[in-house]
Amino acid sequence: MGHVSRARAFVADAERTRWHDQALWFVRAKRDAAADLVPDWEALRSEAAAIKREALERLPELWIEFEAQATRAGAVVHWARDAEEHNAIVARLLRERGVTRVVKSKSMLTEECGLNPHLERQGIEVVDTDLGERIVQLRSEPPSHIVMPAIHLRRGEVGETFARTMGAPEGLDDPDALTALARHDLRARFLAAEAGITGVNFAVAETGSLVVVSNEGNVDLGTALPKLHIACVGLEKIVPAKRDLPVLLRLLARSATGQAISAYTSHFRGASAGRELHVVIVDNGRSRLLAEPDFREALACIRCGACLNTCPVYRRSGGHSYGTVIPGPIGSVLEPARDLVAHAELPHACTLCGSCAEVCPVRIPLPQQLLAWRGVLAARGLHPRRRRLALRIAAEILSRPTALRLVGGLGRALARALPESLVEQLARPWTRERALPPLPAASFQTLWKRRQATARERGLPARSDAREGDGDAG
Amino acid sequence: MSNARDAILAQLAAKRPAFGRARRGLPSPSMPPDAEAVLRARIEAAGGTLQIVPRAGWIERIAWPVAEHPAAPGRGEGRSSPSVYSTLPELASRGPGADGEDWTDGAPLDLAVLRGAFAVVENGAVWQVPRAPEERRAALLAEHLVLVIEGDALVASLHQAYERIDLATLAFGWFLCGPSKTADIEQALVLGAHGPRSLSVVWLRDPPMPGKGATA
Repeated sequence: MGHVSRARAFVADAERTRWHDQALWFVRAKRDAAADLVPDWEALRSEAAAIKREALERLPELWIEFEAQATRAGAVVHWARDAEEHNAIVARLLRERGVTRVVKSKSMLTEECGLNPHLERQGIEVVDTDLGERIVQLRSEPPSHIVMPAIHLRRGEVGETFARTMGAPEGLDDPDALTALARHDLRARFLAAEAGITGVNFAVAETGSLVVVSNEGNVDLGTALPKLHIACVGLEKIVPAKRDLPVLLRLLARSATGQAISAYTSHFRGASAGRELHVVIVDNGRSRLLAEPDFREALACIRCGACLNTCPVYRRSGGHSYGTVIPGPIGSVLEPARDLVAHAELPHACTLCGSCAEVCPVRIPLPQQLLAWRGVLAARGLHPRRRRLALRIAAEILSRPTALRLVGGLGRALARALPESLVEQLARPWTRERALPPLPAASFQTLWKRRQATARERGLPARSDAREGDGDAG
Repeated sequence: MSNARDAILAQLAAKRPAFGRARRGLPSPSMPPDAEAVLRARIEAAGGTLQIVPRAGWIERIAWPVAEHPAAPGRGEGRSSPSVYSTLPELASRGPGADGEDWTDGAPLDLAVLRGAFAVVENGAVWQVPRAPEERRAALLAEHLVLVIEGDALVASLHQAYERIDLATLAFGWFLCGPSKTADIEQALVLGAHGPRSLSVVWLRDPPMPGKGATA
């Protein structure tokens, strides 16, 4: 099952699709308003792009420096080549301390590694504490957005979920009341937890510090109450120095939600008395991606989600249609690098409109990367048979002027001769939601020649006449 | 796992990219002439409030987020007087949990009053460094949070903020901006997700001396 069939399931609910589209576009509009208040916004994006690329150029040195600094401050640093090693390290740390109750704040990395099921199999209870993540956890669903995990759900569905799992009154669908219920339920879990697991937004090589942001305060409750804090960080999250933080933090929340800054921006360095901080540094395919010139800039991503919010395909097809941990444009670049065959449809879940590149705070060339993936798919023969055939035929026709004239003329004649319903049938899936435009009577070449002739008759310079006319018709 | 470490570092060194995208540096944003108004707008946009009062008698002057005044004479251990955790000498902590143990639903904390270091004009955040673990817990478990800043208390942007922060020696510090919040249910904003339901920034600023210019 690919993106198209999963998207079909999502758009079957037209009202949900419309709401989803508008809710995300509203977030995009808030991002624009926040960006407009920063006079040097474009320079800020360029600086952030340079910082993240410099970090990717210096990864081994920066991580060695981070390790030394963090260790000096009392943190314990672990390295994991893949998801299995990551999960094994976290499980061992918990087991060794007899921990059975863990609170986790949002971390796409632990989603990617499948940490929750791994720990649950060992009898460790893992509670996702970000409200959106808690909602999808209670529904046994993956997040559908990297910043707004439950954006695919309506309030009534959240109410039903809470009625089933938390004893909420039937029919309760008020966001304030539902949030209050979850707050009460999760407060007890925070107080009872023996360990907190968090992701990391930025690891600072110069000082060995970790920066983690949240709006709900769950990162902080999950690390201030339990004595054990395990921070899981992907290799791409390192920045060289303190001076890089303001650049990236000024962009992150504004790009993500349109806030000037998140409610909580916490800086952790080492372990204080009686407490433990463990940092698990995870590769899991990142070093492999670093070797791909066409795609490695995707490692600059700071996971703001702006490319999802602005993407016309994401907004209308929903995060679950991608079938990946990270959906949207950035997911469609990252996930094929993990498994090209499984995610072969994703580079096509894109209109190449370029909107994602316009909003990306670190200037990742997402449209070029998606196009490059299509090239890889074609080169490896991974396009579906029908598409391969269609493209081959198109290539044959388009490379031969005579063939193009013949086929064009035949097409126009048939379109006029055949019943409209049959023409529409032939033009599926384009005509599923749209009417075909009326086909012109003559080809572009014919129109062009006619125009040139008219211009000559009037004694006008043909080129300027063409430029003023409807040269793009046909 | 030292072999994982070495293997990863070797991979990274072997596949080192070269983007050749140089940093240009950024001019640090300067303090806007209407800094106070901008700060107030940013704090309010984040769901918080800003109160500017003279230092003398500020406890009596500000609007408190709890029904009963936190410094009012106690009425025993009844629930009518709020439980308070305060790090300011002029306001006493009281009620359950004031000894630094964790506050629970059974022993709720109504109000935390903490000292902040400075506020960031461009985003409304206050930099805060808890001096003890229970100070950080109080900031999270309290129903309402009051952050008190004083004196040279404003910086224009995060750039200037980090110039004032010594990360190399900082075990923990945070920017706090508005109360805990979520919009995870249908994008409806709800204040008080897991932490405080309100955040009030109190800026103790004495009026300018006669003959001197305004200091804002």
